[in-house]
Amino acid sequence: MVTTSAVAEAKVSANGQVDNVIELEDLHVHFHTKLGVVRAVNGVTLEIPRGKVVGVVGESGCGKSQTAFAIMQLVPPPGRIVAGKIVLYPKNGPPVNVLRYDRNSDEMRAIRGGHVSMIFQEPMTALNPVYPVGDQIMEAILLHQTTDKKEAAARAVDILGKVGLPNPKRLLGTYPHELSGGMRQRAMIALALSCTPDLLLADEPTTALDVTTQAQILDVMRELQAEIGMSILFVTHNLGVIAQMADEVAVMYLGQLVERAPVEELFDEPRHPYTRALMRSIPHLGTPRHARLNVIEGGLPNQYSQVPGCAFHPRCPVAQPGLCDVYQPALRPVTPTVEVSCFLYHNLDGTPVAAPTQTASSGTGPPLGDALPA
Amino acid sequence: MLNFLIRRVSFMVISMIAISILSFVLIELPPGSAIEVKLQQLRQQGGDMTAEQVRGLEERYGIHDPIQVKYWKWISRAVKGDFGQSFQLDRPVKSLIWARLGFSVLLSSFALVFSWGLSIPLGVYSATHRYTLPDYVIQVLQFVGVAIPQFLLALLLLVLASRAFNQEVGTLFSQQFKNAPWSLPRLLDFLRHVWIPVVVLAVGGTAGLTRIMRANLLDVLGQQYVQTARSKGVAEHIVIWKHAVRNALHPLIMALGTTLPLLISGEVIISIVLNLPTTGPMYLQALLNKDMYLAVAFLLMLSLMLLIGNLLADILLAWVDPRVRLE
Repeated sequence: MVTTSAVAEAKVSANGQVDNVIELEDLHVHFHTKLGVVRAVNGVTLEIPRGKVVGVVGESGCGKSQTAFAIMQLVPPPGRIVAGKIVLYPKNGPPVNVLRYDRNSDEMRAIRGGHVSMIFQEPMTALNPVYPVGDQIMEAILLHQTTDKKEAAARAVDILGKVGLPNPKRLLGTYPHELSGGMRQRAMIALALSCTPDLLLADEPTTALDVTTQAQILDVMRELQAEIGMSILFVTHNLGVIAQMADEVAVMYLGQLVERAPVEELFDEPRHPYTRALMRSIPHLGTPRHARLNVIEGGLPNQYSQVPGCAFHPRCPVAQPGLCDVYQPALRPVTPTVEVSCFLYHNLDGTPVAAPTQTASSGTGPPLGDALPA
Repeated sequence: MLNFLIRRVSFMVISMIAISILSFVLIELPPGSAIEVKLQQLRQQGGDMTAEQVRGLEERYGIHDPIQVKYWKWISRAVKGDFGQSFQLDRPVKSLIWARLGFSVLLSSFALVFSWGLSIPLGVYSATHRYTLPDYVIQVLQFVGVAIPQFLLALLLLVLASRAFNQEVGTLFSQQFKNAPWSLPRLLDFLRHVWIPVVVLAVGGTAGLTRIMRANLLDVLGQQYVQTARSKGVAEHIVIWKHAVRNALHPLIMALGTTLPLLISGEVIISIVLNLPTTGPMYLQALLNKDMYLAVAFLLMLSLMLLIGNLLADILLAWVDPRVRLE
């Protein structure tokens, strides 16, 4: 099978040596409720290259956070990972088939915090209010790195200093409620990075912060990402943050990836109609004051229902009747670095559309389609 | 913390003074006096007193003094530990209360330990196994426990104990140990009797506390920091007991503050049903008979217990949660 996507290239580059930190394959997360099944993640295949930042964008409820939780096997009940494969490639050590382990197993707990860690949206509630910040960071270090309390404390001070918190020694004994929101998020980042993970899952880490603090937190994350050499899965709905942080972007809609591209390409030329609609909906400086903001027409369908065909077709301005509402497009390469799941770019049989009408840059030539039936 | 304690204790003193005045006045308020009650009883038994005798008694107890004089006479002795004389029983209030207080506190403490020791693990289990069969069973038992009247439960247990275990029921001791000095056989006999009142006393509280624990823990388990702890790789039982339960204890601790007075007055009905030598029935009798010095002494002790309970709850709360620590 010959593919030319960026990820595939990276895979092959070092003599077949895998250079991804994690690979998700056809991941399905379902929430079985009394009202029906919610398919929060509905067949996501995603690779995160080592040392890169992959941004996941999409509307609320499109499954981006649940994808991150699934990697940790921390999908909250009644959610369950019903199908798929997650393979983790730690810096040192053999690849790990994550889903083979029980969610409460020792192996899974070694992965959590040790190889993969997470920071959350709400710094105000992400730290336990009844324990000092230092204790909470040391708890992770004592679990994964050392059993020596003194050394753990030293490491905690070190990492608190690295995230730019003043007087880290004193901070060890400080309680979360004594810190500001920005400081708490820094402390949370320190906690997540205390065991130098291979992969950091950042679930909208700056959404709850004001813009100035947001910029500072992003700087800190960028710096430490380079220093530790970890990868980040950056979940957000803020395209501005994505532009600043991500190397690659995955756009999600209703539990599925609709577009995957390097960040510059995505902003230069969004291809999927949903991505384009997202981009249009960002307000710009200089638009007339009373002009209406661009919105994506329609709303998300009932979460218990399944949309036939392309999930976006009911809201899509260029949907093709008889095609988009019947068949489900697969994520296929459009250029060597961009993958899109849309019939504007691919025919039903997977061959590229002869003369792409919706894109300007088709100069890279038609990619070799993997001729699988849709 | 010390400042906080000093302030709290001084408030407690002021509250106690206010409470003593209020309860004294309230008990004085209705017409009639303890002497009239006593006279009536005497007449019912066929006896009588001459008007002089009555006047003599009234003089002796200062029945016609203005209320502030009465209060002052009483309070100045009360602070020295002398709570006056019971009209009805003709003995010092102090000795009356002390004779029964031991059993009351013992019984209620047993019940308290029992209900806490049971409700926390049950609530935690129920919350962490939500919508499973054991959770449903625990919940049904809770509803029964909350709903069943204590006296009914007491009667049921009495029947059960006497029919099924062929046990002598009621009171706290068998006949031969009733007035014997403490010894090992007496202690064993006591333990054989005490379980019925302890179970009856504890069931309602256990059920209520289990419900609170379950609801609160469910709330806390949805909090972000619980997920943070899991994402660090902390084992699930440590996540529950270290990170979640401690954050869910607040309402239980506050409930403890208001539970303390029940150590003295909580078991009135059961004590009557089970014929227990505790303070509850005596308190009731004192109120019915307008035996005011006895009644006021009880009221004061209840209030003191409430204040101490709340102080303890506040201290415990500060220990559990740094956010309520002052200064």
